[in-house]
Amino acid sequence: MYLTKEEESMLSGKYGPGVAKSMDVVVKWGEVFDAERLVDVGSTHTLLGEPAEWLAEVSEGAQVRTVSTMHVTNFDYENWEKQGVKRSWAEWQIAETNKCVPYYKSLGLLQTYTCGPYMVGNVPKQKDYINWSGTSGVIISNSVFAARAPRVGAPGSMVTAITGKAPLVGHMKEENRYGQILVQPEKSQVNFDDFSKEDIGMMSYYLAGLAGERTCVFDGFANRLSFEKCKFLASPLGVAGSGSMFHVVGFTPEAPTMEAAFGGKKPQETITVGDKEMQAGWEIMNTATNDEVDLVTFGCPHFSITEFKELVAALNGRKIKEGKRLWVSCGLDMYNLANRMGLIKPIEDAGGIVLKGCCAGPLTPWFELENVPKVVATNSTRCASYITGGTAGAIKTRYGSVKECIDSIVEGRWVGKEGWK
Amino acid sequence: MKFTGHKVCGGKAEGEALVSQGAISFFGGLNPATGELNQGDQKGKNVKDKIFVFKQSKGSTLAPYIVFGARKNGVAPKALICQEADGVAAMVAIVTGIPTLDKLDKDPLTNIKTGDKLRVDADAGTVEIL
Repeated sequence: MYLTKEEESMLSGKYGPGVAKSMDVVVKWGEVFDAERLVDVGSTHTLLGEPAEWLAEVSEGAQVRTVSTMHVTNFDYENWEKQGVKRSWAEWQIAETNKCVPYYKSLGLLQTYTCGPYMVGNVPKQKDYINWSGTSGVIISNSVFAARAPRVGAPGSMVTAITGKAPLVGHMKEENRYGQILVQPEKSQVNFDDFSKEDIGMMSYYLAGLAGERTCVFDGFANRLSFEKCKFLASPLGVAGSGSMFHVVGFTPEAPTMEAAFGGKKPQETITVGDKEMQAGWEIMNTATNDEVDLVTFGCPHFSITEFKELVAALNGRKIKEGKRLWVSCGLDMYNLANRMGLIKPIEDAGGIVLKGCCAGPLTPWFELENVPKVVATNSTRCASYITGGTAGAIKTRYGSVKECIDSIVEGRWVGKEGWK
Repeated sequence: MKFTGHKVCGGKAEGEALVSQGAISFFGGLNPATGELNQGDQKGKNVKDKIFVFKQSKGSTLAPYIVFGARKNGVAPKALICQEADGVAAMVAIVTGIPTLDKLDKDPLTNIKTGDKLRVDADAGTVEIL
């Protein structure tokens, strides 16, 4: 692999042991994939969970060279008692993270604690090389922002933060960014423009299981998509499959036309989405067999201000049923904005809690809660899927819109749809 | 039988094969305290000191930190062999330093059986059933 003089000197220790060690990882990563060269990367997003001794080594004498946001914790580190996390677990986990915090600070990582880096100023531009961990952010960046992001293990994002470098691999290369699968509506049954964001999430989850790592091209959205709809289209693709991006013809930057989306080639496969496919998606998401609901969780990926408004409107001053729980998760900055907008109090008055800087679903230590719920309802397929997987099906799920979930937790039983429509 | 393949991380190892036919997510799929697999067709088996043969990696990008923890706890595999490493499997190998090969000239999943004694030379890109 070709290295510039500057890259050679980073590797040989001119900029200190941390940069040298990090560069060694970058170079080895490039060699595995026969990369020709490294590229400059201006944006990273790193996951918590590094072994402290590894972090000590790669960070020694180093400062980050990128806009370097950080991912979520797995429960609310400030309000774990209110969230109902067992004391022994909470204290142990916080102590583990605290071993790493001095390195985060000395590196100058941005302690954002959100899975939505794009909501706290880490917004890549078209053709920017980036290196993010956390698949939902990667897919949004590649697809909606048209940034160039690879799929890599979490340490890869950290060593890029430290060196500002990554090998030119995978979806960073133009030739790997074209679509392979064409997705069209069964027009006699569905209209993509009528789909709610939750319908879109369900479709995307179902398709991801068929697509694997291949890129889907959606044809059939005549209207432009809200950012929330983009999130719900993106986030299941890295869960049910290992996709890195999608295209929407006439909407996403690299798909002005069908021909551009497929790079002039024919699709490998065409999938038509109608009632049968949507019903299949609904059934994967709804594993509960009776009308029980114990807990509703929102914010996967982290809640936006638009979603806060939608939730407060759905609550409409009502209180959740006694003994039931309502969780909402967002980044600290979004919490502050929502608070200033008067959107936190109505949730708390209803009996809900807003969890800050953490994941509320996929990473929740469900069996370390004082009171393990039997059925969790959510409007996120990513969340429902990880709850089913992470608890080996011990916690059942319900899937529906914000309104369906809220109506249900107010009533104390599932009152949402019993089928996809 | 002898195989040649592509080096993901250099090093040499000898040990017994543990073969999983599926894709593995080490995050959630491997207990880093004990070395026990929690998911997949080898659920309940232990990777400690084995040469772990698997199809490919899937799921969370946290996998490298999990396997790093297993190695620190002395319960990691001695070597890894997969059909084709993705960016997550590559980082598992690089960060832990566990000798790792992919893209063997014969399919490891059908030609290597659990319990076979293997000699892996990742620097030379070779695997031998002893």
